Amino acid sequence: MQKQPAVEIKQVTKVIRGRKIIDNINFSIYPGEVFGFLGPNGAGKTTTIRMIVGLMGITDGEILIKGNSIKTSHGAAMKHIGAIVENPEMYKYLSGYLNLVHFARMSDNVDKKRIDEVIELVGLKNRIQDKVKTYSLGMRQRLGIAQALLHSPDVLILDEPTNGLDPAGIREMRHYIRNLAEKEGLAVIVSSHLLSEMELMCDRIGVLQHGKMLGVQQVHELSSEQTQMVSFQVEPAEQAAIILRDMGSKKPQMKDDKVLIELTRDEIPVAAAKLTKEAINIYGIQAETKTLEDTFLELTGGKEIV
Amino acid sequence: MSKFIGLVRNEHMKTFRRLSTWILLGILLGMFILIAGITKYYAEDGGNWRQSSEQQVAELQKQAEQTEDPVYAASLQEDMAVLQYQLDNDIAPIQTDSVLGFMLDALLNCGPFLIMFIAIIAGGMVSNEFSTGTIKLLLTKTPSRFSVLTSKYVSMLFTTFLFTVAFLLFSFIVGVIFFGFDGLTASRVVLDNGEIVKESGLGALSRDIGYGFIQVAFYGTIAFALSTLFRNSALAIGFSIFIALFFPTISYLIARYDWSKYILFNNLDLSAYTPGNTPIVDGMTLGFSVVVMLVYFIIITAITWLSFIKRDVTA
Repeated sequence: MQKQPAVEIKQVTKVIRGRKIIDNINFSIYPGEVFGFLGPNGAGKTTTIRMIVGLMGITDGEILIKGNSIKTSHGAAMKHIGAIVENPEMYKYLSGYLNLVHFARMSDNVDKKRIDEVIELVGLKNRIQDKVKTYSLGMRQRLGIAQALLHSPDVLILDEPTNGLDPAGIREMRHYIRNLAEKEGLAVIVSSHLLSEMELMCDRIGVLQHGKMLGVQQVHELSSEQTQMVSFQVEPAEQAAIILRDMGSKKPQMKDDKVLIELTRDEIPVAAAKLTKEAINIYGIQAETKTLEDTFLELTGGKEIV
Repeated sequence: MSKFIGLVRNEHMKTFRRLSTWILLGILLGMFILIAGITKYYAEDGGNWRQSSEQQVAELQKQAEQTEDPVYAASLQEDMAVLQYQLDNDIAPIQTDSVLGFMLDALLNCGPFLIMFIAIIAGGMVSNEFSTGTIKLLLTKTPSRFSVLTSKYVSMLFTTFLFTVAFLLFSFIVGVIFFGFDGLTASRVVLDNGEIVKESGLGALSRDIGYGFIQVAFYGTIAFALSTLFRNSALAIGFSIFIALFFPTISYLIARYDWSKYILFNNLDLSAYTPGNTPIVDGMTLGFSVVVMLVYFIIITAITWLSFIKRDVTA
């Protein structure tokens, strides 16, 4: 991923009434990736998002959207951003359609055709002429996304996008976000305090705590050098443990009828071949990926997870 | 520029797609119908205005002879002078049960309601966006904060204009329905600084509605500014209406101090400079009031726009 970043956050600090809400954070988001912003409530996720979209001023540092500073060229930067900050609040006394007309008038080059296209995209065609006050939360969420996508932005920012949605709605939203990143090449920034959800949705996750960026973690691809816990369901287990003793950096552990050992990705087939050669019955091999939760707990010191 | 027009259209859509705006217009119409009905019910069958004017002069004469209060006597003398002038020059007074008379009365009596209605609309324009959270969507698009706020203000002025036109139109239509169209050519006679002044009724109406518009628009500006500064509609609407309703009393109490002429609210009603009226503090002129208004306008808008552009949005 050596592309030009879509969003660059450079040494950003935010001070409100003498208190450092955000302390010198740095990261970039690239086209085609879903970046998760994780942290307990009050860690500064929303504040950071508000700074990216220009709702809050930046005390120190700079935020660039496709190379445009949000501070000095608001219009040029906002052209590339579609955002829902917290809840998808719309004008309840207007129809969904008029809400979209309202936001279309605020953007360049959004015609009637584009509005219809977006309505189709989020699947609101049947209810678009109804007033927003009659919509369910899921529908409002979709209308919010329609509004954010109207001007074909390069960066989509969704603050707590699955808040208040039912499991089916969450699934749909997740699918939708992945699609936008993979097919349309959008850079998507989502924030959440739910780990499990972020794990399924994001490519990279940045963990924020007390206004500090604790680390950015790759979610899916584990590099071949990285070790992971592998469990072998074998018989006899004791013998297998002895065979595998000279592999890996740490000693294998026994757990019930399983042998647990830390291996790199490339070492797994090697170990399996060794066991087969010694006539050990293998019933299952499972790579126990270190879950994001473990990483998160490690990073935040296991405290204050909400 | 076309985008700015789009922004103003957006604000208009938000004002006029709201039921409450139409309820306000409905109240206005209802009020006119009520007043017209009462006027018609109590109107005397004034076939001959000369006769009734002569009768009035005689009555005033009698009262003037009986009273011992010189101030009251003087005011009676003035009233008599006006009536006598009308009789001598054959100028029929504007009847309350004529279209023009009704329109003039409506403006005098219902004008303050127009201030109230515009304060209600202007006082919610910015703060409602904050309370519903829609401000976040409004400010995360390409238009600058300056354009967003300015478009709202322009829309507020245009709404004030539309309400003023509706006011005139409603009072005219209700007047015609209740009293029949009887022309708009009647003249009005007033006493200004001891001198008799004759003016066209329609001219007076146009002038007063013009001054009324300025006054309403300024109260709208105040409500709009408070709405932006405090992000609270109740405060913005409440304060504006309170001042509009109670300042006249306060003004009367402090009128003896010369500095009170620098208070904004003493300068908003320009009809004080029309014939037959006197400004609240001696020595105030139309030009003075216009300058005072301009100075306040610049200060109020500068603070409002600066605050809207600079402050963090945490709604």
